[in-house]
Amino acid sequence: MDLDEKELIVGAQRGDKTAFEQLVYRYDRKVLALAVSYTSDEEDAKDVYQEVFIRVYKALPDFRFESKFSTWLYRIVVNVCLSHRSRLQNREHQSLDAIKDEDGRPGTLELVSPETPSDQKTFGKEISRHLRTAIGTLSPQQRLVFTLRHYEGYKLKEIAMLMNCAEGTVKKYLFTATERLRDQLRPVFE
Amino acid sequence: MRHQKFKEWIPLLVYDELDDAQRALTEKHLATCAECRQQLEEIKELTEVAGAAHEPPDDLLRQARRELRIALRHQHESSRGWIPKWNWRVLVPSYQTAIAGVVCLALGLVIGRFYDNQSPGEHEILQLPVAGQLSASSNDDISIGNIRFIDADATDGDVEFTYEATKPVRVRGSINDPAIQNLLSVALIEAQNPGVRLRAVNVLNTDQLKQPDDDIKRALITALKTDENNGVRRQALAALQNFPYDKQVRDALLYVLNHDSNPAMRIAAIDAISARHYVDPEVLRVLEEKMYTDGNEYIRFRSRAVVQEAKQQ
Repeated sequence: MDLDEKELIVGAQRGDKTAFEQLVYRYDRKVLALAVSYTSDEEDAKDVYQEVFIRVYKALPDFRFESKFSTWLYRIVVNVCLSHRSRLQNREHQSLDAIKDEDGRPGTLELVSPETPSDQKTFGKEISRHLRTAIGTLSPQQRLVFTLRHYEGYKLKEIAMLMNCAEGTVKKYLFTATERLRDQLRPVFE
Repeated sequence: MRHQKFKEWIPLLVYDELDDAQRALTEKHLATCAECRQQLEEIKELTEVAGAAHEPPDDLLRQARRELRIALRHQHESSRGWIPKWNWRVLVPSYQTAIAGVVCLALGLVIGRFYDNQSPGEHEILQLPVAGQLSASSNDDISIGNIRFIDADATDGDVEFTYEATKPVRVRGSINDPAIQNLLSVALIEAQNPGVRLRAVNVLNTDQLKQPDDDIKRALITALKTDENNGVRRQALAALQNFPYDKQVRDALLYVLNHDSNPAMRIAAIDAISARHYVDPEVLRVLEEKMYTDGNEYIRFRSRAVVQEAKQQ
């Protein structure tokens, strides 16, 4: 932790609003990015963001510099993500099987191979949308492990520490997450 | 080793989470197992499709920051007293009908509790300051908002919720009155309606403001850095020009130059820097970088012009 950050924390603990704001601004872009990756919904991401920093605000007086501030912060992020209930609560139960054709019958994913650059852009967007839907079907723990490993680059050992569970458990979550995503997206890739 | 174990190791291989011995074993297994090779290819394809994390849009970050500030202010004020002293709300007219219905419900519940056998002092809900003033039939000035149900299950006869009761206050006074300035700062930062925030910043952008306090400056800087409305940010920048040059104002202008996605704002920041001769070494460093890195050609040109002018002095 650099001296500058320590000064900000101490200032914020003393009630200095500007110091707290500066401290938030050091990390909030990354927290919001993680929240967006995790929730796949901007409104949900803002909820997660707000809950994280309100908890930081309340708990900061008890921060004793026994760990890095970023570690302490991300533990809060992990807890908030795991306890977050999406605004669209049925999102977690949606799967690509729920796709229906124009007559309401279960449909299949048929993506036409892109031939023109604009087709490719549309194709890419479609894939991203399917991926976001597929990620939404994961359990909170699987989704969080996948988000932290893939998008945030945390090692599984670090994720285990943040989630306060065994590394073997985190490995299981990652395995299950990738298996489920493979299953969900296989029709898209074929 | 069981086949299932190798299947569990495939994603770990992709994410480089295996130690040397495990990696060697897995690669040896892959040479002989088509199923695992397919799994490996599919996971690699998955990681490519998933791509890298996207930066959140600037607008989303600004909105999130603003909503956080509002939420933290509520946190702070609710820890000091139940009704904040300078609480400011704007209720959209279309909600008033719905709110009138909730007021009737609230009134019924409060009256029902009031005639309960237990003494009022035992129920915090009866100690609400405005309980006695609520009336569904009178045109009370009190506005009800932010109703949140804690327990909406009435099967046991009880419900619990919180609400905020606010009373509009009409204020008239000097722009140099600290209380007026405080209100305008709150409006600038917390008003949901961008038109209201714009009016607040326009009021503050006046040469009649002779004795602005630091809260005004802080509010303007916050608005400049975080408001999602271009007009509000633009006016905040203009209003800051009325303040003496100091590190805070300089840093705010550099923040705009480095982070504002709107080129007109970055140009305005350069103009403000140039007009007030804010070109110290840190400013020079940022402008020299902007000469080459900004995506807007005019900004690159302006930066170069200001740097050259500064070096000639």
